Amino acid sequence: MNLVVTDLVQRFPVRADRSRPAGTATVLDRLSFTTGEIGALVLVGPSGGGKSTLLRILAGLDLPTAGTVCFDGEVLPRDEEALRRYRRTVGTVFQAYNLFPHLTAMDNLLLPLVHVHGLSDRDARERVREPLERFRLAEHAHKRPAELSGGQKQRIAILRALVVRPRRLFFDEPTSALDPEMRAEVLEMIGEVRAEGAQFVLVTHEMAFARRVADEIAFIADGTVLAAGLAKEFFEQPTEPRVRSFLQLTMAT
Amino acid sequence: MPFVRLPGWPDAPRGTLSAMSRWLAHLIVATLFAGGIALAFSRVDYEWNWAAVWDYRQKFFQGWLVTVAISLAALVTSTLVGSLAAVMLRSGNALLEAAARIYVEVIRGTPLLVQLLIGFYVVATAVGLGNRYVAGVLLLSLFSGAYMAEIFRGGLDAIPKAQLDSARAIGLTGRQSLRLVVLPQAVRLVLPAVAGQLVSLVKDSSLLSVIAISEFTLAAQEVNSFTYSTLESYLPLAVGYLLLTLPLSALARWLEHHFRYETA
Repeated sequence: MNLVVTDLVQRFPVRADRSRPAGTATVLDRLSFTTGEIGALVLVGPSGGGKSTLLRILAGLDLPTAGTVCFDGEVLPRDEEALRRYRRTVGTVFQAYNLFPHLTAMDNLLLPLVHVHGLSDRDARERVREPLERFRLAEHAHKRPAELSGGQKQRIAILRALVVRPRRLFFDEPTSALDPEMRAEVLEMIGEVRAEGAQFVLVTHEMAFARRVADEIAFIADGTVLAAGLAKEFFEQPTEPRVRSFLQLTMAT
Repeated sequence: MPFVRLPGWPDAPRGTLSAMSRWLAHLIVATLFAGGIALAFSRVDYEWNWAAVWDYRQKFFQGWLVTVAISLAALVTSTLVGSLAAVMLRSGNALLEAAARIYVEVIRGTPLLVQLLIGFYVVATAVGLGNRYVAGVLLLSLFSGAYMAEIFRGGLDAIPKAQLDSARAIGLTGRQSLRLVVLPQAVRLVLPAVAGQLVSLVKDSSLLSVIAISEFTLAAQEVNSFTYSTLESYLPLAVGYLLLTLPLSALARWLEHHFRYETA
């Protein structure tokens, strides 16, 4: 994929509270960057810097206040119905609460296939059978989300995004709500998905994983891109001082 | 030390009562209660005359059937009214929201007795609705629907935003999200409260006697005026309502237990 982000601005109305009057918060401030033809883009940076806000715009979930996003030469539309059609062609996995708690894991997988992509129930079951086996989730297919571990839930959520055969995936801190050992199983699955050729944009704080999986990295802080480029250069020769200190802190372990 | 069961609190009372001890406890309390009532009755100098009331058993039974029928009809219509009002409360249209809010607050803030009298003798008469049974069911449904509306609205509000994000992310339309994601979860959340509201509905139908609907309570009132046997007329009334409300209460508790799952 090739991504061109131009002058992206995202402002949210802020309610008045004891510490400040009502107004607007600028979360993305004329953010621009361009990638080459890549498979995996990883967004890193401090919390509250705008990574997730950017990802939600890229995934077609939020409209930016201003600016454009262009994937492979196609500019993201600005009306909700066209954006919904766009969302059908991509997959998104959030930090938590992806699955619908009233449905079993299997029904969570079938729902988009049947109701969004028009597959028959039989075809949909056939479509998910092999991936469930491959990712060792078949034995959990009949369970409700409440009966699954956090790692299993995230893996089912990734599978749900995957089985619709999306053009690309978006991961919004998919391991941040998990225990360390569950992080490993989810990251491993994302690694496998990458190895199979899936393209994605990933927001994460797992710097070692970012280094392993990313083709390009964008470091986002204060609503702008402080550094962007090939992962190798980003990690080995960081020039931007804030990136250097961030890497020192997060890679120290 | 907390004096109620708090899960995981070490020195709180434990909730490990066996089925046997529960039954026994219910039996003991029910016996004590019945004994107390019996004692109270024995203290008042009252001449029982069950024979006179027994002659009117047919009338009681017919009244009871009318109460069952009215409750069932009002159950359905009040659910419809409540759903409509709940949708209006969250419609985003200022006029609709104001209308629904005023409806809910006026109904919940005034006695059903007043609503029935004005609703039947003024409004129903003005619009030419002469059938007191139809009017009665409608008025009762409007009353119960206001409570249902707040229950349903609460159910809608309880669905986390993350669920809607997920629904949008997989490409569902707004209507699909409502039908496939929001409603199935909201219905499970509100079922116990709705069952509880139905118990109230059954009892509230007793007030329909004021607009001369021949339901269970009016039957008892009439038998009382024929026989001058007040207690013999009203005791069967209590039993007749319990026959309807106890199973509903049991259903409410079963639903609460059965449909509870963690929203994880």
